[in-house]
Formats: sequence, structure tokens, C-alpha cells
Amino acid sequence: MTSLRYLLPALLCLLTAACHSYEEWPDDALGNFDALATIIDEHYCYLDEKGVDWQSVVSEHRKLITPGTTQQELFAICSDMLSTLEDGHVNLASRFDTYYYRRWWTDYPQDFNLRTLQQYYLGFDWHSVAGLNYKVLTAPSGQRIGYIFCPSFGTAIGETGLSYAIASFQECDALIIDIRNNGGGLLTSVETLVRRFISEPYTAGYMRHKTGPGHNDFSEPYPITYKPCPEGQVPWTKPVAVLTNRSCFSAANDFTMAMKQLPQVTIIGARTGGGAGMPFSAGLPNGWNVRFSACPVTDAAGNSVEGGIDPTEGCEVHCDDADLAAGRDAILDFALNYFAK
Amino acid sequence: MARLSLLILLLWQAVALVAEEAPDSLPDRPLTTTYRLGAGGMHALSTYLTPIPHTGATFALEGEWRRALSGSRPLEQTWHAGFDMGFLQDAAGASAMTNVGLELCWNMQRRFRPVRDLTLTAGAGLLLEGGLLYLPRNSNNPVAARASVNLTLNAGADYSFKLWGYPLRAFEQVSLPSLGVFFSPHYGQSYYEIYLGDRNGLARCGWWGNHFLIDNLVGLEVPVCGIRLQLGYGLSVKSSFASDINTRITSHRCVIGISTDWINVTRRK
Repeated sequence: MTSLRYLLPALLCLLTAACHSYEEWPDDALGNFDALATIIDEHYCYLDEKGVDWQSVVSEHRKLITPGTTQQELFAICSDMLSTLEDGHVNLASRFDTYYYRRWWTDYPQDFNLRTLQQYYLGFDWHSVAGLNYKVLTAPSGQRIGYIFCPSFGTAIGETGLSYAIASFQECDALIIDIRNNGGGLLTSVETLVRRFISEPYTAGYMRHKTGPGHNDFSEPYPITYKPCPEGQVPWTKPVAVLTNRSCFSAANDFTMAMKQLPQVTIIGARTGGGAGMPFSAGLPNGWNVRFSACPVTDAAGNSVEGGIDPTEGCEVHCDDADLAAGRDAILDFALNYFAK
Repeated sequence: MARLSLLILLLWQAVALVAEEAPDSLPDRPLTTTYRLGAGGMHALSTYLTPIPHTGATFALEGEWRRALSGSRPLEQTWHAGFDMGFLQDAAGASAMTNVGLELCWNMQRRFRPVRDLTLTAGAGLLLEGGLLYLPRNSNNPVAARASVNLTLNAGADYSFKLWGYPLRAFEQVSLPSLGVFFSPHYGQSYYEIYLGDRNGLARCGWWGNHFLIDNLVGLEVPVCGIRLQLGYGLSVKSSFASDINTRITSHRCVIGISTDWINVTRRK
């Protein structure tokens, strides 16, 4: 009996030893609102950098919720609350709608027309491999310029296909990589492409992650270091122009950041759309899913690129809509003439 | 540590108080092989993926190989391998999650026979456990991986009896991993950052306060056609708490298995 007197409480302690509580919310309008507010409060990485007073934003919107609030009304309130973050990586998905913050590109000129590019510059004749479209163009100066159009990093860029594309440019004097309208995708695809332009390990920027729920709980920056060009491949060392517009977002923004810091690279076009925080997702009790920036990335100098990246000095170019309609792409024209300087 | 030492001491004392050495192991040392299938319910939460718990069905397959050591002492060793899958959904039915688990365990245990027909076992061993929770609708954090190496304590009880003249055996097995090392990313760390090389502090020292696992099986064994059929109930809890990431996977399973003894008949010089 003496043994039992000690054994039973000890076993009870044992069974409860690792039971750490977690927050649960009821599946009603307030519960779902509170779940969303808490997820952003504890995990979103740009609250302080963007100067958002999240607690006051939350209390302002919480007042709008009543016991009779419908799912559609709640969705509108939550969407409005999330729009204060001004972040294209922030989405709220429900069964009946998905909220996106779009003003990072809708408030700016598009500076691009796919049909104009395909018809007047590529002549509806180009090669496609590994998610890339490519062709050799002739500049007004007579220079032969390699051209790669990369509309997305959403699919993995294959090393073999990329080697074929670059090999077809061996007689060219320069290379243009057009990432206009590239909304992002896989960071590993960015790495695959950047590695073709470096011959030694290269730190393109830094990544941090949150170490706790506090707004300033961040890890030390960890270098995003790319390995050099794969063995057996020769890195491209001739001049490169990267064409950008406001619709370059997320991984395309990271690609611009990495390329801009290389000596042979010029960024031509418009400021990119930003989106430097790697997004995470989480669910709400009613099944909605919120996506948000979680891991901030900075360039090699430690500057935030969340708000976008400017073109190289003297290379900001915009396309007039009338010109685009008439078959003239001012950004691409600028790049084709740039190498003749 | 004091609580851990006390628990080990109490566990040992509880067994030792009633223990009487069992007779020597059989000279032939049969290999007892058991295969079990389980099906039941699972509850899983990983706040790394989402703060919303998911529930659903789980299926498990496991094998156990037990043999007495040679010599006169009643020691036996057990190998155990298990694989389980869980197919889960959130309460709203909007999000599907999959759990995959794998474990391999080696135990050394001692048998005691305090009274006739009752055998107790107690021992320790090594457990390698791993798996993942996969939430496909998450974009950059769709997976929460887990892996651990643990020193385990285990205990068991067998009671043989007859019911209407039919020989039966009731058994209970519990395995309790105690100290170990387990993997956990930091609070908001992406697997991409780990891939980049930021692996500092991913291996954590585990004890019951931050990494609690328990596996329990209770059942009845019935001899049928030269083999033994097992029917039982299994409870498994895997939980960890590190870097403010709360992970809990609980499963309740009905288990059916078969068990046989194999004797080596190789002629020796």
C-alpha cells in the first residue's frame, strides 16, 4: 500500500507531463474572427516593419461582428481587416470566395503585353523548355541577344533544358531575362536559374524566421547562399538584363534581388511588386484557410525587399499602353539598345 | 530529473515487490512471432501546420519478434516494427491531412512470475520513431516531420486462465519512451531554411515534459488451429512541445493479430 501511495500520484504526473494546452476557438463568427486575429498576431512577420497596430485594427473590426453575422459578412469583415496588411501574400480562402490583396499591382501601370511580345518580337516562333520560352533576337545595332521569357517560377526549371537554352546563346553578346508578370513560385527554381550566372558561392540575401509569437521574436538572419554553376556547365559571364514590372512578385522578386547584386546584371523596367516574406498557411475552425507572410527575406545588405526592388539607376522604363497596342515594347526596346552602349 | 528518477525507482519497486523469478527459459528458446493489424480513430494536431485539430481513421500494421536469451536467467529480447497511416479531416470537413508513422523498437526485458499463471515483464530498450503530418492545402508549410530516438521503459502482464475449459491468455503491454532526442523545427522556421543549411538547434533533448510517447496494448489471446489469435485494443499517444509548437497525435485502435512459436530444429554437433 505504501508503494501504491507514491506510485499512483507519480503515474498521474507522468500522464499529464507533456499535456501543453493549445488555444481553441468555437466555430462561430467571433470564434473564427479571433482565430484569424490570433494567427496573424502571432505568425505574421511584417506587423512592426509596416507599422501596423494590429490590436487596434482587430478591435475596430471585432465591433462589427454580431450574433447574426453571416458567413459572407464575416468574410467581408475579415478581408477588410487583412487588407490593412497591404500584402499580396495574404489570402483568405473560403468555400465561396477567396480574398486577395491586389493593390500592389492594380495601382501601377502594367508595362507589359504578352501578345505584343509574342507577335512583334518573337514572331510567334520561339522555343520552350523547362518552363522557359527562349529565342535569339537581333538588336537594332545588329548584336545578337539571347532572350528568355520566364512567366512563372511555379514549375521546376530543369537543369538539362536550361543548358539547352543557354547553349543556343553561345554566339550572343548579351542575354535578356524577361520576368515581367512573373507572380512567383518555387525558390528552388530561382536558385537553379541564378546559379547559371555565378562561378563561386554567392550570398544573395538573408532569411529570418519567427522564434515565438511576439512581434519581434525573430531568429538571426541566415544567409541565402547559392552554390555555383553545376559541374560541367560554364557560367554565363556576358552582360545580362532582367526585365521587370510591378507584377513581379514573391519568388520573382527574390530572383530580381539575387540578380541585381551581380556585377554583370542590369535591372530594366519598373519597380517589382515585392512579396519578400515566405508565406505559411493555417486553418480556421470553420474550414477557411489564411495564408500570410511568415519568413522575411532581405537583400545581402540587410535591406527589406518586401515593398519591391527598383530597377538599376537610369534604367527605369515604362511602357505606354498605346505603344504596346501598336507593337512597341519600350522596356524590351530599351534592353535591346542597352548593350550597344 | 528528480521526478524521472523517482518514477523509474517506483516502477522497479512495484515490480520487485511482487516478483519471484520465473523458471529458466526453455532450452529450445522458441521465437514468438506476432503480426497485428489495427484500425480505429485518430486525433492529430500540429500547430506548426495549423491550430485546428484534425480527426479521422487510422490503420496500422505491426510485427513483433520475441525470444528468450540463452543462459539460465529469464531475460528475453523483443524486436518490434510498426507502420501506421491516418486519414484525417478538420471539423468543418474542408481540410484533409495525412499522417504517416514508422517505428522500430528493440527491448530487453525480464520475466517474473509472482503467482501461478501470472507473468510480469519489465525492461528497457531503444525506440526509433518517425513520421510526418501532411496538410496539402498549406503552401510552404505542408509538412510537419517528426523523428526521435528514445530510451524506453516497458512493462507487461500475461495471465493465463480457462473459460469453460478453453485456455485463454489476457495480456497487457505498455511501452513508455522516456529520455531521447527528437527533431523539431523552430516556431516559424520553414523547411526551405533548413534546406539552406540553418539546422542549428533542430535536435532537442526529450523527456516526458516536452516529448511524451506511450504505446499501450491490452488484449486476449485464443488458441485456434495451431496458432494463437489475438484480439485487443491499442492506445498510442505521441506528443511534443518545442519552440511553442504543440504536436499531439492520439490513436485508438481495435487490433487483431496472430502469434506463433518457432523452434529452431537445426541439428548441431
